[in-house]
Amino acid sequence: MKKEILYTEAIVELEEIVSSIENEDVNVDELSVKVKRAAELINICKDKLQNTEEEVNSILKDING
Amino acid sequence: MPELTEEHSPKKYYSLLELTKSIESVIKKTYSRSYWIKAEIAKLNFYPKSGHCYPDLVEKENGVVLAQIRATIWAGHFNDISSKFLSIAKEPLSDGMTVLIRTSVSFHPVYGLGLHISDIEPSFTLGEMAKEKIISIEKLKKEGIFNSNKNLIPELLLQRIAIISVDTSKGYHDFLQIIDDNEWGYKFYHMLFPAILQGESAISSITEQLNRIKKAKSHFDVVIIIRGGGGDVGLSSYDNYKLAKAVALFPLPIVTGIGHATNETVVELVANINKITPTDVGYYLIQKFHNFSVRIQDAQKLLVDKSKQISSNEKLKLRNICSSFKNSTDGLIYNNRIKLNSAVHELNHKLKSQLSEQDSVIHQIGKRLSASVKVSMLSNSMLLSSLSDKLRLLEPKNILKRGYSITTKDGKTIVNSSDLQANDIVETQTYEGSFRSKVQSIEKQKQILNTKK
Repeated sequence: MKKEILYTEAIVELEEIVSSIENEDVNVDELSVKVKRAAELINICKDKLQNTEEEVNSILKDING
Repeated sequence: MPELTEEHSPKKYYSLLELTKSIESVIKKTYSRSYWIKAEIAKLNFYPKSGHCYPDLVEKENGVVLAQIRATIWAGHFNDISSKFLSIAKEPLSDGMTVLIRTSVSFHPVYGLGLHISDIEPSFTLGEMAKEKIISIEKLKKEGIFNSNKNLIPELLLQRIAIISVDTSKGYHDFLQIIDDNEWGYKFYHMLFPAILQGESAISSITEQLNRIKKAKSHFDVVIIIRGGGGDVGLSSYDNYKLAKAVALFPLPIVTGIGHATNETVVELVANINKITPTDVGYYLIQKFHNFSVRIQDAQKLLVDKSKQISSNEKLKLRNICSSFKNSTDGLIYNNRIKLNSAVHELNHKLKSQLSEQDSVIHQIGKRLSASVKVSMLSNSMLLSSLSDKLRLLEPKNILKRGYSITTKDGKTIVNSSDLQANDIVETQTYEGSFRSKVQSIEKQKQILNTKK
């Protein structure tokens, strides 16, 4: 399931970015790219907390199939 | 009734009642008192209306029935027996239970052979259940699956929940209230897989629902088994080996909230997490969301702080570079200006000396030129004076002096007599004085004019 891996991966990637910025092995050129990516990941994660898109029909199909 | 004897002829017979009465008396004589018997209740067959109970008792070995008999517990006994049993064994009398019963054997001509149960020893069943629990745990450990579910690493966010519970259970509703009405707006997806949660039938019912969930396991992050309001009663099925194995081997983490305070059941022991009560399960899931959320917040804060720091560091670096650049360029410009000045100076100097050199060359040339001009002038003036001497010889006055004259008509010099006509007046110029004359005739052809004075 692509979706559910996504938030685990998202937070791992996010924390990687943060730690690389924290250790200051990011140059200024990369910084804005990384920060932009981090903001994206933060949104994905936050969105994940507030939403779920599980489809009842597909679950039922799997259970009964 | 006398003992039955086999008669051949004439055929003697007994009535069915005589036979059954005979059986009854034999049994009564042989089994005159009551006995403690260990047996399994295959089916309890309790009739709430009458209050009587007609358990089917069996003895099995490896699933094969070796003995079976019907029993009776009259309503008068059943109340006492079942309530005593419940309070000590923490389980109601139920199917599949191994019990120690005090019974007498009876035979009735109509109802046949049966056992009359007058007492059941709950501590024996308790021991049996404890034994079953120990055996279950040992078996699971031996198979190396006791920690299988425990060792599963749950997703960071346990968001999609398969719930094994009963729709009418208080625990289920408490749980839903906690996760659905949480104040942080965390969103859970949950689906109920209804099951019987206590007694013997819980084993197959829960196992069946686990199998259904397994088919759709990709849609769920966690399975929770919750049960509320049942107290400590009816939990022995959670010590069952089969159910515990199904839980242990389940591919998703299982969280239990079966709701009791005493010893943990085997299912709870093998589950990924045991939270005892449904509300605790709810708070546990919310806490997972919090943990996730906190990680994001921390990351966000660090990100902002560090980014600011990096850019201010870079700014400072840039400023330092700028100022050192200015210093070094100033120096460079100064040095180059000096070089340039000296170069200009040198150039000027060279130019001047070159100019004066050229000047002297030109001067030399001028001198040579004027010298040669003088020479050439001298030779030319000599030439001119010789020429003017020649010219003087050619002057008309000098020619006239030698006797030649010039005749003109109307100011025009006559060089051809054909230009004249008879009677034309002409003027003749001599070296000294002139005269006028009239043309008499004209002789052509190389004859000199005849003129009158």
